[in-house]
Amino acid sequence: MNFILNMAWREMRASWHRLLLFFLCIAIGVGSMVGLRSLIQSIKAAIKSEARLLIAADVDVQTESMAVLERYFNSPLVVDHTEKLEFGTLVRSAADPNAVPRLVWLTAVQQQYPLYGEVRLVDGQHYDHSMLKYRGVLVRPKLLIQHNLKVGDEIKIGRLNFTIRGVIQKEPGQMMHFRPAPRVLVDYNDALAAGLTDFGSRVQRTMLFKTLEGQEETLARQLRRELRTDRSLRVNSFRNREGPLSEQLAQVENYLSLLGLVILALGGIGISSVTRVFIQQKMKTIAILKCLGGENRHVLGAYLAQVLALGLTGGLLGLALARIVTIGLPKYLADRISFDIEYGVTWQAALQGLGAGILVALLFSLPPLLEIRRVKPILVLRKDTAASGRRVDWLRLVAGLLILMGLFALAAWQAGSFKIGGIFLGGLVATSCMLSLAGAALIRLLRRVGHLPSFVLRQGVNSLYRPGNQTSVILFAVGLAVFFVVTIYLVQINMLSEFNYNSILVTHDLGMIDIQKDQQAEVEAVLTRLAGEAPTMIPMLRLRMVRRGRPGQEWWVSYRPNLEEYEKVTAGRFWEPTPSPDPEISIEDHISRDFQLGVGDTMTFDVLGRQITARITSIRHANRYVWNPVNSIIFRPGALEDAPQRIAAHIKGPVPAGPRAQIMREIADRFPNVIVYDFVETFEAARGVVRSISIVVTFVGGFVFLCGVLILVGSIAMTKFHRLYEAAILKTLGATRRLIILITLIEYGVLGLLAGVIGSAAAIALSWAINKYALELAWQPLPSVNLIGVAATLLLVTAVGVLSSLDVMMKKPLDILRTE
Amino acid sequence: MRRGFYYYISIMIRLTNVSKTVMSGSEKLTILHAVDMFIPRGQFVAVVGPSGSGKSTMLSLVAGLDAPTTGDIFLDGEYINRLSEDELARLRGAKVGFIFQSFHLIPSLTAYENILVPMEIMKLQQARARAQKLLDEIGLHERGHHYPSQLSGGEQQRVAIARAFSNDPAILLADEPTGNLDSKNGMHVFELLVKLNRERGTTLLLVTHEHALAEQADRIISLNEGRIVEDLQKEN
Ligand SMILES: Nc1ncnc2c1ncn2[C@@H]1O[C@H](COP(=O)(O)OP(=O)(O)OP(=O)(O)O)[C@@H](O)[C@H]1O
Ligand SMILES: [Mg+2]
Repeated sequence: MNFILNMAWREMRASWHRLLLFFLCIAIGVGSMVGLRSLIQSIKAAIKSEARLLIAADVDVQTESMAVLERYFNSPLVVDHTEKLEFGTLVRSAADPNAVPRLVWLTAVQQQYPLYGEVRLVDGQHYDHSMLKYRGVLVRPKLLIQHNLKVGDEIKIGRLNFTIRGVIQKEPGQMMHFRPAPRVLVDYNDALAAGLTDFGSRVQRTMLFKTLEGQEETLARQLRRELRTDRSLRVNSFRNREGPLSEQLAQVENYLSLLGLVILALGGIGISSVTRVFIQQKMKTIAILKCLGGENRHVLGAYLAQVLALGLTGGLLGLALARIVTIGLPKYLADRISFDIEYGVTWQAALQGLGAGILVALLFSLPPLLEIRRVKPILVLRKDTAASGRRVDWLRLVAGLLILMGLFALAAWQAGSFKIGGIFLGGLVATSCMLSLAGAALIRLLRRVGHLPSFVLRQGVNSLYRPGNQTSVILFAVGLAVFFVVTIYLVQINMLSEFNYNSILVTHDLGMIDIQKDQQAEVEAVLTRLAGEAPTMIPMLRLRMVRRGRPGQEWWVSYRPNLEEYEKVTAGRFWEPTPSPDPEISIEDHISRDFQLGVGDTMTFDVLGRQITARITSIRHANRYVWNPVNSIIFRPGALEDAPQRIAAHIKGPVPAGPRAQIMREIADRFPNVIVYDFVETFEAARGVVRSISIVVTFVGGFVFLCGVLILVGSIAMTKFHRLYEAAILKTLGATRRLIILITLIEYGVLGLLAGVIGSAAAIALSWAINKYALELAWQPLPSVNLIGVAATLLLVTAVGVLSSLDVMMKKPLDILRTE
Repeated sequence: MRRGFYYYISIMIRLTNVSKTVMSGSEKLTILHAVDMFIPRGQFVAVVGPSGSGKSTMLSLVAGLDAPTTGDIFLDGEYINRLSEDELARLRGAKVGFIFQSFHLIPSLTAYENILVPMEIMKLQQARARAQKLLDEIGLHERGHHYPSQLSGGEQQRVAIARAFSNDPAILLADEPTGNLDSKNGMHVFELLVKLNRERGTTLLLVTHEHALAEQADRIISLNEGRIVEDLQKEN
């Protein structure tokens, strides 16, 4: 032990200038792992709490058998619970019995509400449940305008009068709820007292649960199992909830996990290749130590100690850097994003990060360190004695297996999912194999290349395959780094294109339902006149599905000739706009997933006692931010035109409040049966969140990219020591610097090109797999990203190769010859 | 028979049918042909022969730095070709000192530390004092903190010799230890080697081109093209 530490210390002291680069590379590797990891975790935590705000609880349940839920109040999983009632009802000013009553969406809550987040009131007033006690009500600004009321006035809801105690600016649990009327908040007991139970089944009762951290899915599963006979049951956990925003938040969480993994992998690859180069330089010392009686464990120990020491200091440096970044970051991000991020690096996160970083450093440096065992003492006499014996090295196999298992555990832990971990590791292993094979093939091919015409070319190509070459190291490190960085970019672009928050604004933010068939033309005319453009009219039919001859669920369906601009076909072909004799349908991808239906399958519906069997000819994916009440199942024209139906409409309403209100008023006056939805506020809020997410994603993605580049630069720069000796001899023999630079250019150019091509080709496969299986997103190829990836790699590798060799060119050859 | 027995147990090095074949490109090249050799404990053997005749090869086989293609090597009671790399390393640490033709000092260690290393590996007592003493003996008292690249060829050579002495080996294999030294220093090193051989009974295999030195050995083995062509045992 003593010897190992002594040796490690002396070596570190003696060649510190060389070690400096090694240290820097390891520090960047471990540092970015540790630092970025904690940054990513803060953002993940922020996104998690944002996702929680969507339902303002960990789990919410709607069921007919509320009594069953009471048993869960004392469950060890449940920390807190509260019930809320929601329903549409009419409201009018209490002072004026002749005022026109208008629809509101009433929410009745208990003391504990909300379990997460806060109800924010205008004028910075602080919300407290006592404001609702004794018939208080909190309202939305719109209601005050509609009824010409102010805080302190009374309104009549049901049989009772309520006093307006404040105005709600924002409350949790409401984002992306498509409700036709402004919401008002009252006390639970008052709502019951007001006789609102008269509304019977139209009252929506929701139980909200707060669970122990991380137990939300467990509780949701238990509830689903226990209440499975209830056909109207709805159980959501904040992680697993219908609706575009929560789905995207989940995707972002997954993506961030992936980023965390990638940064670990990049760091690991950097450390591995840097260690390999380092050990290669130390071959001679190792051989001498063995000549002097040093056993493998001594030598291995000495170098392991060095890697560990460097990993630890590097990790600490990384933590310091992360701290600096997180001090500078809030200012930048706070102005741009709508939710709060905890920036501090906690002790726990720091220790965890440091642990993960050092573990990765160890795992990845193990393969090159194990090479030490194969160093033969005779290497002292013959520099390039080939590693003798092709015997199976069991220790290496076991170590390899161990590393794989460690990586898998790390990946699954980091990503929080065995699936992502598996996909990721699979990609890593496959690409590694591909790169190794490519490296071997290249070396073999080059050996065959006959006499090259120019000395420079010959020398450049030579150094790629001669003994002690760095081809495999560079190919490996660069190839994998390119692979991961390009993958991240492909995934990110695909994901952000899904977000495409502009579409929320440009598409229709004013919706109507329950238009009668004979009102259709009139409504269309009114809307066209007031909004300046024709609305989209959507027929709505309630059809019962028939499964295996038995009546099943009821569905809203529609029919239309064309594909809308907010959707794309993911399988099959969308029909021509002409009516078809045989019924055809197109379904949305979530229906396809939930019912395991594909193109060519059929669905049967009951239309006025007649059964229609329709063949699925296409599957669509629609931007979920567009409000369309019936988009899941649509028929090709020709089958349903004569069936009883109602119409929905949506349109992009005018932005100014005046003209907007005019449309709503006119529709309400002329067509009292039509319900109008205004989504402007909802979309505005959702847009804020989505935009924040894209900024965060782009930002962190950029950081990972930067670290990838740095790590890459490090591993390439390390290979320069290989050329020291050779460059020195070439110089003694009369080679000019220009010549040496040219040789280096060729050497690294070939490597950069090959690594870039393989890495970005493999990235296509991985990004596809991640999109499909981990994020469940549509995927589109982006050849330009791949091309840029290849070109950038080529440039970067040659530039770093040449630049890092510049000092070799400047040095006097004698300095180098003496040390070698 | 009685004599044979004693003769046998006092054998330090025995090579039977040892050959070495290497691949040079795609061709096989035999650089040592079926060498048979006994060296008794305590003998001072000079190995001579033209450049490229296989002297260094033979020495490195004896030290277990490389494995022979055929044949057995017996070193102080053990057949070393059956030993693992680690066992070989332990054997070298305990019994063998090797002085390389081109020194092979560890560039990242100072002269003093280079001498210290074998003793540290063997966990010897008072290693530091001994290293310092050895440093004095080779006349580099003032240079202990210097790195090999800061020393002259001859100085490096002397450090290499001190290093080989440091673990007090039973077998000393010296590949042209005086090649880089002037005659005065060369003589000094040579005397050190001989003294060790005399006083401690160290078995000494010395490769040299200098006839004057070879003449002083108990025995002279001549190699040519990988074969022992002459084996002169001095009668005393
Ligand atoms: N690994 C190898 N590959 C090819 N040839 C080798 C190898 N090892 C040794 N040789 C050859 O074997 C021969 C003997 O080499 P060795 O180093 O033993 O010679 P030597 O007698 O020590 O010469 P010198 O007096 O010049 O040191 C040389 O011709 C050398 O080129
Ligand atoms: Mg020799």
